[in-house]
Amino acid sequence: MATKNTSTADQALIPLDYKPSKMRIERITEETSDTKTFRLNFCDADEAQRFEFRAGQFGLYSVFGAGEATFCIASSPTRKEYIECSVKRMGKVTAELHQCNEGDIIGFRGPYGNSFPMEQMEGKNLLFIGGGIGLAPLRSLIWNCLDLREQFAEMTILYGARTEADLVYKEELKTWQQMQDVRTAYTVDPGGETPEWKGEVGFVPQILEKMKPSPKNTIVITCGPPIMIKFVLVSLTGLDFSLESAYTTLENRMKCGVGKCGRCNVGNQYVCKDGPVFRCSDLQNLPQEF
Amino acid sequence: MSVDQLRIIPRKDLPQWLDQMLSSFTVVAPTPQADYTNFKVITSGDQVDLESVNTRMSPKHLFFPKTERLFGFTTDRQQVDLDGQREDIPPRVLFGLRPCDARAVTMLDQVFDTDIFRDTSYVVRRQATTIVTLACNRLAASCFCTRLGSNPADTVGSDVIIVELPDNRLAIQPLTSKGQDLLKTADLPVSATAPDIEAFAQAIHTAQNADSTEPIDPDQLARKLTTIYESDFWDHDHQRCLACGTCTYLCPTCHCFDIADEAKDTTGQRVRNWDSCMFGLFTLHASGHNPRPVQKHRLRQRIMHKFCYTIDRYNQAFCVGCGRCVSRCPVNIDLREILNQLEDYQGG
Repeated sequence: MATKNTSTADQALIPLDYKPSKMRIERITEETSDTKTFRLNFCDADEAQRFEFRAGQFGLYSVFGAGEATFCIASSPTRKEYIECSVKRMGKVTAELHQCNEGDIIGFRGPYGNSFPMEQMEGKNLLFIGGGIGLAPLRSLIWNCLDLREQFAEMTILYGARTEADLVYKEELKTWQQMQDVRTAYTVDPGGETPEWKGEVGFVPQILEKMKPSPKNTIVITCGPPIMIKFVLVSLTGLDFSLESAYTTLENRMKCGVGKCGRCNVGNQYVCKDGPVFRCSDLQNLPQEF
Repeated sequence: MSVDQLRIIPRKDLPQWLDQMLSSFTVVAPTPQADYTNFKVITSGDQVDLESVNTRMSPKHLFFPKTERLFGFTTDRQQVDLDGQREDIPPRVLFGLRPCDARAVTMLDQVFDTDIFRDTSYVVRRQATTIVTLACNRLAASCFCTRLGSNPADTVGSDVIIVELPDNRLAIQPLTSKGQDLLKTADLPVSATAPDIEAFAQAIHTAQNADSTEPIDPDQLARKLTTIYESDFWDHDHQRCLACGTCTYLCPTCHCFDIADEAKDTTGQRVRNWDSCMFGLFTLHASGHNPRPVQKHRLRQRIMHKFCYTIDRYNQAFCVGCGRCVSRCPVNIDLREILNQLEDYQGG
């Protein structure tokens, strides 16, 4: 049902002791008033050398004493020198992470889960639709695709947030906007704009309908708040897109990350193992437990 | 079943045999606690109580402890030291559990010991343990193993099966190499005569046919559950559910867990604790969003997990019919009735 787990399917049995790797915070970027991006390096050179992942996979990040929390890897697998995660301050672990400074050590377990279908995306037009902090997993994939630009046809990025201040990766949004071979549209919810705002004003699905992208030879990858995804899928259907060529990533609370602790399931699918990347047409056949 | 390894001992000699076992193994067996029995480490063979059918708690905590240290840490933010030292698990015998509980261990194996990621702590405990099962010669009022395709003399998951013969003797049959090793170590000579073997076969046959209830059809049930997920089938039982989690804690196959940090100043440990899908906090996101916001969703999740998702994933229902959830539920939610109602339900 979900895309095949390419990271682990061919590997032998892996001993699991839940002990994380130690990673040093190399750089902290303030994205918004409540979101920071952490650039991390493995403390152990061998681990750094061995580490590989695919766009869409996630990890469990820990602040020792506070616990573990799950976030996608927000950097591209083509940038091998580090990994990045973007964290919105929400609960206990994220609050502690926000207290961390550059040079501090945190824990990381992963990568876990399946990944975006890079092979199926080759030669296709790519339409990325993101909302809020949901741009994080898309950012990994967008840079992955940009670093292999010749493998894909047109690339379009539609991104929105509630207000201008809530837009994440602001510098990168500019970079993408300036690229000749990337089409971008950025929007904020009505009332979220300042007088200087030059982008769109309106909810993401409305802007999508205004853009009228062609469904021909196109794969859609969308990530954002559940309510945005819901209406994006309605708009896509209205624009004659097949939800079989649309993908999203889910987040549910999880503890183990590897299909044992029993809480992240959506119907018979474990978000941690069968996801987090799901084909939108498959999601429609599952209980709406996300 | 090959019976060439069958041993026979008088029932009164059981404590001596256990004492012998104690010289080479840690032995965990049902012992009396107030008005019930529970699995405890014994120090003498006469502490074992085999009269009650099922212990209050299942023996799953021996493989998957209620709370367990995963590792310790010392941290001052810039420097972190992790200590992965684990509890040493000596060779041990889990003695006198019932066929339902032994079968449940094979289900836990599917979760913890397969599927790419092998849970180290579980595997170590499992490998150190020899399971000696006592077939049931009577059923408790809450027993329904037969409904789950098992029976009171089921050998699935056991290394040794013991059957009580009518004349106060015990027939002891090793089923695996682990079981054979145990019988060798505990010096129990092969002693069965032809009539003993006949009596053993008869006792097994009697136990296997003690309950003539029709088993559920797991595949059919799983298909039905998929189609009635949104139906009114779920509108009733949850109304009296207190979300106490007793059913999940007593269940020998429930395995959901939490991982949390316990720390004071700069030192602490990461622990794994039993958790329960019956609790509202179980799936609550930090944002406040909850995919299963009400008890109806949680009770449905428990039934779906046991009788649909595990069938999809592991090809078997994760229920062995031990009856603990039935007998200890404070509001008498009866899983047997839910199964009956499911089979009869015609809505959709």
